[in-house]
Amino acid sequence: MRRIQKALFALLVAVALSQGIVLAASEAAKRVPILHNGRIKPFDAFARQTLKTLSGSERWQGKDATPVLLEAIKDPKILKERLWVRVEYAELKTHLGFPKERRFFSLEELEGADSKVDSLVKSAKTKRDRDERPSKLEQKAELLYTQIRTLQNLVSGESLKDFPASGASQLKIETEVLYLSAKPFQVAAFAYFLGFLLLTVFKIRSAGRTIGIASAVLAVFFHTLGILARVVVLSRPPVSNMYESMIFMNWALMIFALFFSLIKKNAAALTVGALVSAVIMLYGDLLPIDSSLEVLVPVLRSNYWLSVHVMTVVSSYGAFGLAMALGHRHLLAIRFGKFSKKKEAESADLIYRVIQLGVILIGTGTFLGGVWANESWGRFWGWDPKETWALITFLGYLAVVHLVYAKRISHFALALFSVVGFLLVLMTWYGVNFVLGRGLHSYGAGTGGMNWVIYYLIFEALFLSFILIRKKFTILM
Amino acid sequence: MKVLKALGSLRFAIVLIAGLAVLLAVSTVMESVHGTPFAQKNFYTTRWFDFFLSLLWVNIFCSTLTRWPFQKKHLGFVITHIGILTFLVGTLLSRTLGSEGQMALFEGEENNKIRAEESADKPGQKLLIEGAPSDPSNHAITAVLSGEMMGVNETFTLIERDPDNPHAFFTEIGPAYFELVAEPAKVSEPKLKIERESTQEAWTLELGNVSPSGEVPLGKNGLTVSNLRYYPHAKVFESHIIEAPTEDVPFNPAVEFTVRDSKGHSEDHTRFYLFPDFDSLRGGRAANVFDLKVSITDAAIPEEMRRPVPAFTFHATPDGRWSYRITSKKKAPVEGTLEPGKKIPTGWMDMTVEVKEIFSRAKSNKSSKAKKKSLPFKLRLLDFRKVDYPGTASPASFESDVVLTDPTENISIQKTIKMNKPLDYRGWRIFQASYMMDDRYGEGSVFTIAKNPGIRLIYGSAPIILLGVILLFYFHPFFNDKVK
Repeated sequence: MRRIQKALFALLVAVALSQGIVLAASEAAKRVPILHNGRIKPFDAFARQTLKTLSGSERWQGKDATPVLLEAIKDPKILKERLWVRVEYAELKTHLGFPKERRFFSLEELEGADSKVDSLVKSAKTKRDRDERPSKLEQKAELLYTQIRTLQNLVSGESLKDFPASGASQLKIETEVLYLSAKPFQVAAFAYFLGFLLLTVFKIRSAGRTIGIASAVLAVFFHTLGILARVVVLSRPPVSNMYESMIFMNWALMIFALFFSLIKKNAAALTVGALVSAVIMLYGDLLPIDSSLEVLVPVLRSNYWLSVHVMTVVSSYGAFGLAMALGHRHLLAIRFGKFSKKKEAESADLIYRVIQLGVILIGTGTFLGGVWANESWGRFWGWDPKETWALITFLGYLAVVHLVYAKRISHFALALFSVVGFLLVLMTWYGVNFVLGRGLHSYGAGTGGMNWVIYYLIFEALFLSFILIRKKFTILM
Repeated sequence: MKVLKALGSLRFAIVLIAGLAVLLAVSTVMESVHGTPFAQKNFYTTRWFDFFLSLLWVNIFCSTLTRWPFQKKHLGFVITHIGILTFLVGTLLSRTLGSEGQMALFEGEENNKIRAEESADKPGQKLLIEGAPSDPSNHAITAVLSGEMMGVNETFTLIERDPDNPHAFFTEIGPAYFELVAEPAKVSEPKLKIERESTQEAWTLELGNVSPSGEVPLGKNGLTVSNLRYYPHAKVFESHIIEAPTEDVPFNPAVEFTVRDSKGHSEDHTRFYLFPDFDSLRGGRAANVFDLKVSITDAAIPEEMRRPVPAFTFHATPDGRWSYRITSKKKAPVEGTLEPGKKIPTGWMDMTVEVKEIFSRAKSNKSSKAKKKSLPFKLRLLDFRKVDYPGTASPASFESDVVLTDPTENISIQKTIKMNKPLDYRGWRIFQASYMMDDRYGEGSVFTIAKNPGIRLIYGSAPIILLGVILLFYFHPFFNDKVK
């Protein structure tokens, strides 16, 4: 730990010195508070978010967001003429009469197509009002509309009217600047992956294995710090949108992995957990800290029961995710004949214990959701798609718990279900908002991510074919 | 005994659990395709769904009975399943005896009826019928708004006076506003009303044609109004009010003026018509020494500005003639005579309005109306407030001051209902569900009022189940312990 800290510190100092005085000036600028989207944030956060909205990246030609944006604000010519608005969707470019090959456009060019963008956005809005889903072209036009407005608001000074903002909390500002530059989730993703590699390569007790465990634990530490930083900055429970719920689910998964590794004195849970975490964190990092739900709709205002409800349900996803990872390990070990009878039973026991925990959590969490709904709307249960799917997931795992309890299914079948059952979790967590696209819980939704879910489904289909083909197995006992 | 064993078997339990899961999955897909009312009507609120839940109850009951006589090892199992039985009884009680509905009230209104959630009416079902010639005059219209560009095809009904819904004379579809007016409204000049509560004095000033230079005395007490400015389309620019150069602020009347007394004290007031709750004193920190209440009277706002734009107004006159008037953002108003079956272009993209039916003595067709229920109490809305997040128009909280009166018990309660803070009264709970903002009626609240008789059993079952599950999962030997 010490050594790593020292090394990290030395690295930071080196970077700081190489950047020299330029850094010092823009460091100060980063901390100037600004009111944006209903929240006071450091200028750095505003700059990164603005740049990300415009160009898709938090940096511009290798330079940090803050100096880039400061330069642009001083010179409206840059705002209007710089080719930095990224438009990727070819159909939209064709529709607006722009060349398909170009990726970046200037505000001036885009304002020429303003009326076409406007009419697409209006038709998207009408569809949303009527509870329908806008076409992809309309959704992309909405994105472009946001990009154009972002720049126009910079030109008119609209977005800078509360700059610098008064009443900023120094703690929040410092925390957010640190969070943005330190990227704790990236560090955690790296450490998780390192931990997984070391724990997989070094099978028997060795220094490599110890470092592997230390790396995974360190990752959990950074992971926790990242979540705490978000709680401090946003003053709300860390489960308010899809991105946050992913990070939190993953955190719960790792806490359970640590717990079960400790009581079973077996690092299996930690190893597979670290791999899953590395993957989820990397994906999560592709998304920005702020989402369209930056300030919460009234129904989600900080509320004790609500936070407890959501955190409990999301941590059940973590438990089921861990069971899913352990299920893969179990099936692979059987496929390659690496399991003794004893080890197979131990592995099945672990999976069952993790599923039990998940069932208790999803049951409790869904019930608490009912309590909260009853206290705020007078309806314990309303068959909203999200709660219905939580119930379906609960029932699915409950059926398996019954079958295992009565010793009716094999270890193999349990492992198989822990993998397949996670599809139910995925449907509840993601599918309801994005596939069914209806219901009260749609404020928990964002857009996109569908590709990744499809990749996961393809991976799972290939994996299961690989396991099930040419292998004899028993399901019922 | 054999039947008991079969009904309480694990096989039956798995069939029920998995069956319920599959059924629910199907219904959510149906909901996604056909909409929420469809799923509610064909799945969740049906009798066979109750029957399914009852089967589950029977299964758990029988499986618990088959453990009789209970031994120590059954403790966790029995506690858990008694908990689930309690839970299911509570659920079935709430499903069969509970009720829930909505009540919409504007400030000052009172009601004792709730409307059940919209039921999935069959398309084409008639909501209105023409009454006999002896029935009182009550105009109504059914029309279709359609346009291919946006894929709109919406049928709507407007009723001059609906005894159950005082707001049935208007509707909003997307950004457009539709209204039925029985007689063309008189266009009058806007007025400024200044009231002094302590002395019960009130003054009214014409705003139609004001010149800012003059001083106007207020009664004989030495107060004068000066610098009077009226902005039909006010816009705040660099913390000053200006008249919007084009009509890109279509409806935002505001007035500014200074009040002085003979001793030289002065106060600056600003009043926005749309925000009557804001303190009119500029700066906000100054004490209101003159004790004045300032308002723009709504009756005085010209017709085009009184309602949102774009708007489509249907006019009916007592002699049975119908006409329409379309107001748009950047175009001059369009007027014409109404004929059923003729498509009227609205000028909003390619959208047209076609009148399907016209009623002059409309009566509701009772059989197809949404269910209504009388409550044992009346509810009056005194004041609604919406609090926004700083610097945005996103609401952070809504709250309503209400008075609940129970005539039989002679009880009257005044309370504030907030989001997540309902009002409880004799088994009924009243929640802030939503809010309304209307030019004519001002602000209002939509309440959900619900009775949930099984909720105590449901709440009570939770600790029982949790205790049982913990005993069952963590204090009980299970399957691979033998292997170890």
